[in-house]
Amino acid sequence: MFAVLVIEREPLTWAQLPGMVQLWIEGTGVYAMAGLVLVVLFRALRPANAPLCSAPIWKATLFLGSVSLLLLAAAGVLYAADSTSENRSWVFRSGCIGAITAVLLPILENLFSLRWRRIWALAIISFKEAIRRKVLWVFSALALVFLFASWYLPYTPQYQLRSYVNTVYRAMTPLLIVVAGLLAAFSIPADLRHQTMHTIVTKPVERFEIVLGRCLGYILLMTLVQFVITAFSLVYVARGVDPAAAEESYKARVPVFGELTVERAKSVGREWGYRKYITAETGNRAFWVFHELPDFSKRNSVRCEFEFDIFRTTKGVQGRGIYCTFVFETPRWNSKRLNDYNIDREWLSANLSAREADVRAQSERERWFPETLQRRLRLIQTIQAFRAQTEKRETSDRDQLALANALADEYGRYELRSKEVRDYHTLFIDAPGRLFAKKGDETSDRPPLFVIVRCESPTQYLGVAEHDLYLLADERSFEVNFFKGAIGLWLRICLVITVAIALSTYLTGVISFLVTMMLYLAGLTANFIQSVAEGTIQGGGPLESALRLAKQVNPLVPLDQTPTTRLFLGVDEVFRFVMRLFLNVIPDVERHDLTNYVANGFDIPVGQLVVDNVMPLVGYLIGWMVVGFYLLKSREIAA
Amino acid sequence: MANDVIVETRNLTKIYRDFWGRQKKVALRALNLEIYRGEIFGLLGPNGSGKTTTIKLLLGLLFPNEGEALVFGEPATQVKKNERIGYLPEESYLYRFLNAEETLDFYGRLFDLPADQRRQRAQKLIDMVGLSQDKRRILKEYSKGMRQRIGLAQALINDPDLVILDEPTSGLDPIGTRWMKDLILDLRKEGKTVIMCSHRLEDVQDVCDRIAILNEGELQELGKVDVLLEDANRVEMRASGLRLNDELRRDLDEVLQRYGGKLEFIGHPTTTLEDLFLRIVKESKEHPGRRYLPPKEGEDKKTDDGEKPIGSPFAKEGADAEG
Ligand SMILES: Nc1ncnc2c1ncn2[C@@H]1O[C@H](COP(=O)(O)OP(=O)(O)OP(=O)(O)O)[C@@H](O)[C@H]1O
Ligand SMILES: [Mg+2]
Repeated sequence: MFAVLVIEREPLTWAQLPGMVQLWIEGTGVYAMAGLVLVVLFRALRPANAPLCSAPIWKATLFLGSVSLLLLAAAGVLYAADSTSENRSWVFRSGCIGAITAVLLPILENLFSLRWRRIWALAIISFKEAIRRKVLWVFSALALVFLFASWYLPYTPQYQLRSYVNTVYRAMTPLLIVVAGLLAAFSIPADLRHQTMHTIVTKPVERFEIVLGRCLGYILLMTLVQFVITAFSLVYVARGVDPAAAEESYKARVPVFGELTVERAKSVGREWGYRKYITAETGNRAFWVFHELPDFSKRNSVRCEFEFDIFRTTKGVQGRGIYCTFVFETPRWNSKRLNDYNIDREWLSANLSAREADVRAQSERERWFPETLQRRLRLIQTIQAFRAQTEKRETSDRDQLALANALADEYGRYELRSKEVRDYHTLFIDAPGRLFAKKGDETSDRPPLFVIVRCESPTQYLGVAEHDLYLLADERSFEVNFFKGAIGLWLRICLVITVAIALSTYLTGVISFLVTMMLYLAGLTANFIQSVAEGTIQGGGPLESALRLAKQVNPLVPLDQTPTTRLFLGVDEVFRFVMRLFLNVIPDVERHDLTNYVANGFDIPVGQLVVDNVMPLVGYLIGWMVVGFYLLKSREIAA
Repeated sequence: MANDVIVETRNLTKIYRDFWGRQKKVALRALNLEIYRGEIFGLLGPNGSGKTTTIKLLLGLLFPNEGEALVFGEPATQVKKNERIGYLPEESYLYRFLNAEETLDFYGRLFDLPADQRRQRAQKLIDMVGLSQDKRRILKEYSKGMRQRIGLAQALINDPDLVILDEPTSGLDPIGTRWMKDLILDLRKEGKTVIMCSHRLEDVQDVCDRIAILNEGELQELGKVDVLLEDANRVEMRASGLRLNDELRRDLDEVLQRYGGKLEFIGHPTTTLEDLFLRIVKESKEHPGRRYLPPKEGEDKKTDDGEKPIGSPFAKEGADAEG
């Protein structure tokens, strides 16, 4: 049992999309401008050149480009004059949009001349070539992994599935990526060298069709290859995994995550700050707010899974965890009724058999307040109804669940005390389904659920992170999820193919391949580079740090606002901007690693695939497509 | 009809440069040409004189440094003009992992032709170039001549108005050469314009209407072949039904002197090696199983009949009106 989803970076959501688009425009706009200036300079310097598009469109491009250049320059001036001005970002953004449009105009015009039949023909050629040259035999190397890997994989059930999944993905990834890179990087250079390109471009083929056709062909080919390999891997995993391990993680959980707040978090000086710690002190608690829930109202119980870290200050009992209280509260819960809740709970627990409770209630009729009597009769009714409904399912904790459901129905609250929590084990609580019953009296502006966790064991620390606790909305098929996870790898393959082809329109095969692989590797460490560039490290940018060093100012003390510091900070911001620009060239490869989800048995949401994976990739690859278009179009094929 | 300009170059200049823009070679210098509809135009010149460069400029494979090349009245860099052009490269640069049928289908797709039209044309062209037997074999296994044939078929897949052939006869045997020449003449009959370049002068002489001679990238001569080759100071004549003797020679000399001329040569014509070759192959087809037998020892290699070529044991039967 080892199913925690450690996410180093929150996936993007639809709500963040406008912000991302804006960032994309700013990052891409500057490149578009720089590219346009380069193209114009290049064409001015070299008389031997072909037109990139029709004359009117080129005029429009030049016009729009000059306007954008002025706008960008104006933004720079505005920035130098007053770095806080709101106008500058507006001017800057329009300049960027203008530059992007200017660069795209010739391509858009060209799109009208593209013919699907030609692109398809070129795609098929790439496909046939790879097959007839027997390139795909490389993948028999994977057979070795399948044959021998299981010798080295652990048997322990809690790790087995994870290591199986990780192994097959790790074996697949480099092989597929390198083969895709090689195929793509060498295709157009080989066409040029063998001069097969001459025969093609003397047909009515648009140069861009060659880029598109090659991309499409190799993507199709690799898709097919990957599909087969993934299917084999799945069979391998499914057959290799031991039933106990399969029971735990051979599934795809659909979790519902809440937002975590930790009141008075303790520092234990541990790890990388991913988890926060609580103790048994009063007021020291963690709570998750669930802003949105699926419809649970028809369910008998809703499973809540969690997995916490325990930091011990005393040894405790060997092999035992620590104890925690879990409270589920819905908007129907009224804290003034806490007393009633506790009394009813005690009373019901003491008279667990409903018949018994019924008899007791009859006998105590006179001694109780009328509303207490009413309430308890209601509770007993709910319990009986629940039992009638679940007659056939004879489970040991049916009574407990009936009780919890009755209380949840009445109060909108569920409390579980003294739940044992173990280190790094996924445990669960079955919360009563009636908690989510729709009674029409809930105030709609409050979030539908709070889950509060308190630590009961004194002197022990409980470490929690946002994704450590979740409600289980659904359990889906592992197999489908395995293929969804493969989409992450597929997107990387698309990335490598497109980048390699774009580069190879100008560079030789070897160089294109090496540059592509370097970009890919840089992408694997992008997160690290990014944190350096974004100034999240203390002490500021290079000039600020130098200033602090010279003046011997502690990084935490704000600098006094002299003109020098202002200038230095300004230069640092420019530096950060340049760094960010530089980072834009590096693909965010890590984003597409979905192995974690599959290996730990979490469903990959389709929406997340689109927003967090497909869209950023498309945004990134548009740039490379444009590069490919301009390079191949302005190239002399026979030179 | 003859005055429709299909191809026009104005001051066309191409300088090959390296990456840094340094000049490597002036391959073509200020070329001015006009090529008309329905003619066969030959580009001649020694190796490295700029023939291929000119053709590549016309196709937009290279961009001119100065001047311009117009094809069908449009700049050569336009992609659209390719719809009406067929091009046979110097060597047939085709995908070697495809077979003949697939090759033609592929290039047909590039012309955006629908499937049935592609199939129909491919069938016709494969028959025409004589590759029906080998159409399922991949091009890697083809000989040079077979590749040249499929290259030609590929160039005609779009039924072009302008056919550009770079060294069309290279790699072809004499039969292939003759076939290619006939085909070029047929293309003209269909109203197509042909531009070809070659340094096999006899080929050019046989088919071209007009020629341009290039040397070191400069145009040296341009005009109609028959006009260019006509030697107005000499007269040639040919006669049949008699054998040469001194009397005849004397009489002829006398007549010529009367007209102010001078007899330079008189004798029996020899046939060309090409004709000999063609005849031998034709006869070998008519009489399968025959083969060359070395002459018996002691026997003189020369046959008594001086007109009969050497080494052709079955030449006697075929010695008819040829030559
Ligand atoms: N890509 C190139 N880079 C540099 N120089 C080149 C290039 N292509 C051709 N040349 C030079 O240009 C000149 C003309 O070459 P071109 O190929 O046009 O000759 P050609 O007339 O076709 O010769 P051939 O009869 O041998 O085919 C030659 O001197 C050649 O070296
Ligand atoms: Mg040549």
